[in-house]
Amino acid sequence: MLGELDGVETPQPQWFHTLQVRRLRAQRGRSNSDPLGGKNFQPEFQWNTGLQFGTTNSYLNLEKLGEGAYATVYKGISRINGHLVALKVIRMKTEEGVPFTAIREASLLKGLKHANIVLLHDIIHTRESLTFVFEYVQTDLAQYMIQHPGGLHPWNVRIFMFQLLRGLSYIHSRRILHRDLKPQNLLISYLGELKLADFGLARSKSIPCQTYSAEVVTLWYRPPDVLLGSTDYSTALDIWGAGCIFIEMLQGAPAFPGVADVFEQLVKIWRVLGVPTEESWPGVSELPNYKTEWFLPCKPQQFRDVWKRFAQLPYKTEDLAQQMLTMIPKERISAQDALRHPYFNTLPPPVMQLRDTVSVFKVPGVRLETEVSDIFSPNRRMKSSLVPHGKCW
Amino acid sequence: MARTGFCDSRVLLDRKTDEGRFPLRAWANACSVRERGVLSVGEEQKQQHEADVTEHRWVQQLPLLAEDGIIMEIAQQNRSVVPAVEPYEEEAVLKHLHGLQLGHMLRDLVPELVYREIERAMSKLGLLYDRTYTWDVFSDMMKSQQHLALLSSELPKPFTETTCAILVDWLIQVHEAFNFSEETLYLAVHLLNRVLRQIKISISNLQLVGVVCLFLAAKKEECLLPEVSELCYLMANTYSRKQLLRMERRVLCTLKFDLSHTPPIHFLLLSAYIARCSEKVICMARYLLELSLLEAKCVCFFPVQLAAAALRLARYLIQEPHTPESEAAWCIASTIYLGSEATLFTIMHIMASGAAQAHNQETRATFVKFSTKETLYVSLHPALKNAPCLLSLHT
Repeated sequence: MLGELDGVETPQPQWFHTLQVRRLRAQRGRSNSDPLGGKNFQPEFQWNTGLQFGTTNSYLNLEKLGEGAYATVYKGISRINGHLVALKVIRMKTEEGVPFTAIREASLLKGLKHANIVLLHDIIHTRESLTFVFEYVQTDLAQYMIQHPGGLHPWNVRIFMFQLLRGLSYIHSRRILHRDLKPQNLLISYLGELKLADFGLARSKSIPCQTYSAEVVTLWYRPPDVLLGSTDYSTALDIWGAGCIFIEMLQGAPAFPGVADVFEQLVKIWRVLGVPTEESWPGVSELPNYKTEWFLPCKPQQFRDVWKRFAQLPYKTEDLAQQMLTMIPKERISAQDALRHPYFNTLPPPVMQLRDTVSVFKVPGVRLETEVSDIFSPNRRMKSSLVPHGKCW
Repeated sequence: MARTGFCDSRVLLDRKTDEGRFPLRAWANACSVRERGVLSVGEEQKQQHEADVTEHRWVQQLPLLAEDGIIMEIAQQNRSVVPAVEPYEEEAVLKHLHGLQLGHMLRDLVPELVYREIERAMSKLGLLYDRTYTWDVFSDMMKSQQHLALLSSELPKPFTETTCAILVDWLIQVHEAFNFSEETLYLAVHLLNRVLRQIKISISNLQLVGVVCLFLAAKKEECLLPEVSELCYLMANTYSRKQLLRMERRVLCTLKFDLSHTPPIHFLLLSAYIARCSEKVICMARYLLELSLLEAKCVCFFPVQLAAAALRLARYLIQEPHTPESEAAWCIASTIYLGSEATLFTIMHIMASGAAQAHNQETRATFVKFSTKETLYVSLHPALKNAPCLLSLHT
């Protein structure tokens, strides 16, 4: 999915890209932003009910969205029902068969049916390649934040956070860790539905195999216990990542943007939370990367002094962030408890009782507010009335 | 929401699914005595009928192999999940609310003591990341075994129980040589059983399918993977690497990439921990459980049933002095079970006769594996030889 594309520059923002295609088609004959404009696809575009799922020619590649470590992602269209899809084409290592990451991802996703988890439609397996057909989601949180700089609307942050925690609570209750949370892996639909994507690093835990490879989480969203070399991963790993994303959404800038290495990353965290001692965190000195002399004594600070946005918001916002970014993993709030935090009290109560596969936007009163930066550029303003309720969305 | 354990309203409210489901004994005990499910003859026949129906369905669902790609039907199943635009589903929400309350009730009906024991055992065994999710993870383990259960133990034509037992025995040796975890073995044999019942395999390809299942299970579970060339070497280079990879593709498509499985060993360790069983009893139960992989008749039982039978039989075989504490602990542990006493004794009889014969069978890998010092010589235990008689005394 889009999340695969760490650090890869996509040619242009995906946000509302397709909507513009619709509007501009009358005026423009051919353009790069209009993948259908140049060619005449009419004869091929009869939705063919005779075509079957699982074959290559049931899908049409429209454009390349980006390239990741082991896969290339294309935007495509299903010739069976006209749905837009994301095609994640996995290069097959001829030596060792289907990559184990692909097997784990597919096996996990097949068991996960949730409104906040990206939906796997189909798998196409040919001699040369393996393609996962996902639902097409317009953008991701990283791009959304680039398009709306300076922090998001607090109401929208609340809706995004609720969905993120809802998705996490769902996978955690199935013994699955995402292990690679970052804004690029959180897909955002035109409505504002947030979906967890890229489960290549996730796996459900079994008893004996507890040694995971060390390099899993992007440094910025890594919790201090993992940075200190602990391999006793738990659900708290994902909660820290979610907490960092929470602050990044409010503040408009990453919470702990380390540059060089693990130690710089740790110092960034100590500056806010204070240097842990054996009293404040029993057992910390036994972690592999713990070295007392490297850390200058820092006192824990109030979040509102570090991230100014908290000072403008009710205290419960800061309280939730503080509970998610607790140093000791065992004391970090769980996703399930976080959903019951007073911070979410302002959402309409039915959101707490939805079925797994029902989106929060089905509840009346839940909709995104216009982002401040959109007020000055009305073309990009989000208006749900503009969006046709078509299938392909 | 997360708390969906067994409380999905559709499952509970739909009478049709309810009929085929055995009540979990912990809940049954908590509700009332008459809720406790003992499988009557009528029900058994019905189940047999259901099994027949499902077999027909498999025949229809045989995947078509095309030159360029292999057709799968995941999306057709998913189609209903992608509705155009649903209106606000008030009805569904209300219905679900109803289900949720039931769910809480189920959780509340489980005696606090049992719940706390399960929680302790699961976090001890590393099956939990976070105690908040104990109930969800546990009920997910219970529920998931029904999802992929095989309904018939019958093997397709060219294969006999003996051929399969020889293959599984060889897989156990390969598995041991690679030093894989126990989950990998159970997953591999589970995959093998599913594949054999879904596609037509020629007898000359049987070993290849077995290795591919082990390879896939390792890709799912293990940190260190064997190389394809190593696997070919183990099969005396009967098959080329290309053949192996082609078979991998075929198997994956047959299984539709669904490799999820709750291994019976998890249930075994869970119950054994709660029952405070001694090392020796646990080892014996592991031996009996592994022997059950060779028994074709065992494939249609749920993992939790196999685990419970193995543990119970192990306790019969290794007579340890019973204290009030151990009896109480055993009582709690035996609530983690799904099914009737009759089923339990059926499995125990199969296991007992298997174990009594194990030493003079051709398939001796498990016997040898459990006759070492590390395994406390359990397979050499004198009580095993007359296990079937011993069991008859108890019933």
